[in-house]
Amino acid sequence: MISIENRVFIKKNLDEVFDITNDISNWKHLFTEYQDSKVLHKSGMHVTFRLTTWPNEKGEIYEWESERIINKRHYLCVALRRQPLLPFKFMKIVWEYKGHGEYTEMIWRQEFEVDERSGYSNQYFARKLDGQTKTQIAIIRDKLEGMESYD
Amino acid sequence: MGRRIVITGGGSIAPQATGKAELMAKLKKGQALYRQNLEWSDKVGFPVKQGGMIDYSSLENKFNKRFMKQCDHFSIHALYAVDEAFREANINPNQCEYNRIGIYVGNSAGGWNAAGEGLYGLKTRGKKGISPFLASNWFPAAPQGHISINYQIKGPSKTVAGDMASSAIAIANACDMIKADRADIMIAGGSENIVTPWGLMFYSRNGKVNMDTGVQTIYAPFSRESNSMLFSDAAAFLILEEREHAKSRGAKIFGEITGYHLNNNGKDCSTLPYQECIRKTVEGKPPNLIYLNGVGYPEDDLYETDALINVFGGEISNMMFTCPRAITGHTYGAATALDMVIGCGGGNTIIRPQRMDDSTGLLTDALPEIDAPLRKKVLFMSRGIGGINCCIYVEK
Repeated sequence: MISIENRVFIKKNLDEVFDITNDISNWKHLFTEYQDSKVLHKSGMHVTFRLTTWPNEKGEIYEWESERIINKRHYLCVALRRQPLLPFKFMKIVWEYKGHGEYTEMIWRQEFEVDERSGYSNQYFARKLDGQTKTQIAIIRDKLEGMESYD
Repeated sequence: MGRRIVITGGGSIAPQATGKAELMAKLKKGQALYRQNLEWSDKVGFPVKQGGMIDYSSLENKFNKRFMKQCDHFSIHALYAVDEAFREANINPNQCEYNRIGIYVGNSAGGWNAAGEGLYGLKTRGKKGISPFLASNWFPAAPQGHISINYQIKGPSKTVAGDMASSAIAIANACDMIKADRADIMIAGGSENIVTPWGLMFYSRNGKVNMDTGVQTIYAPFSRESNSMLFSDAAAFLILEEREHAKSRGAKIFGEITGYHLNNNGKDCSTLPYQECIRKTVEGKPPNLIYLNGVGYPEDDLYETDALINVFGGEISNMMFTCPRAITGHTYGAATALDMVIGCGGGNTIIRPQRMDDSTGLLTDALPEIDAPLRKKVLFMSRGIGGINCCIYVEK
């Protein structure tokens, strides 16, 4: 299993960061890599959603469905990619949030194993996802810090 | 083929269900066995309000009162369940070869009634406030010792602590004893007594329990609404027997344990080890009915269903699922043994299975009632916190 972890400090309060980053239907605006983020079903803490990427340099668009549990009681989210699973054997993402005064620490942990049928290696995806995550997490921080607070 | 293991009896005690017959009757009604309000919870200012407790006084007609005072509750509960299991198996242990009967007990918490009383006594009355029986009462192997003394059993015996998988591991290890020709009969199961102020104080810190008094606790595993684990006390034991031994004495056979596997996640946080545990247990024979671990905490339920969906794929839609723990409460170290008593211990066992939606892992509409022991292939799932996986497969 491969595990990569990234974290960022955002100058915004814990509840706001948690609520904004878990508004999945808004991810197409929050992330720069998704052209669409659609919530298929939501009930309680449980969300089923579909993500669609922008075309890559080869013009390829990727789309997949995931399950996400949004647990505000513990400021913890767990997502499992459902279908299609390929190129992974499994993909689990854990988001953890911690309040530090006026800052919120957001920790993203991705645990996965690449399916050999994909033709890619674990190391390839570790590098790729780590790079993408660092970029996206910084973009999200900048967007959140640029937003007006609720209060 | 080597030595085969069959189930010839079962016994149990659970909240509001003293004995298997009462448990089956309550399950049939679908009536929750745990209490909505634990009386002592408010007194000690504890946020966990719900749980399933066994009425200890209801056993006074069964055991000597003085003996009951000398034992922790989980030992008495275990003795009750074992006695019932022996009676159903029509075995008089006194007429058996003592060295060929063994005991494997699963327990996670130990005797926390005794431990709690001991600590309270220490605080309020100093060392004189501690019962001389405390040392032999609180430790997890106490039920095993009491069963051994009570029936003069001298075969291979052990107590297993493996969180929620404790009784499943005890049963799997007991099977190993019969397979290895070290025993002909094994008493295997679990006893757990967490629902005490002291026990809940610890176990509710596992991050799976609703500690927010402003939010209603909903324990409904594999539903979208479920938000918390809910504990209950129980003891449940099976009589496992070598098949030819059982046949030679004309015993009624309720099922055969044809597969079991135990593994651990180590540092692997994925569902792959659990998937492997399921695969090695079923060995290519998809079950008809699956008894789920059902922590009731969304993250854990998601983990369990993800493993099942990955192993069985499209076949999931043809399978039936049940989680009696939604009715009994999660009996933790005794949970799998209780499921197995329900699922293959014989008697009038009626359950209401459900289908699983393979796109969400949630249980959907209830199917018509079925007679549980009639199922041909049954898989029992268990998983302890931190990744102790143990599954057991029973065929009719």
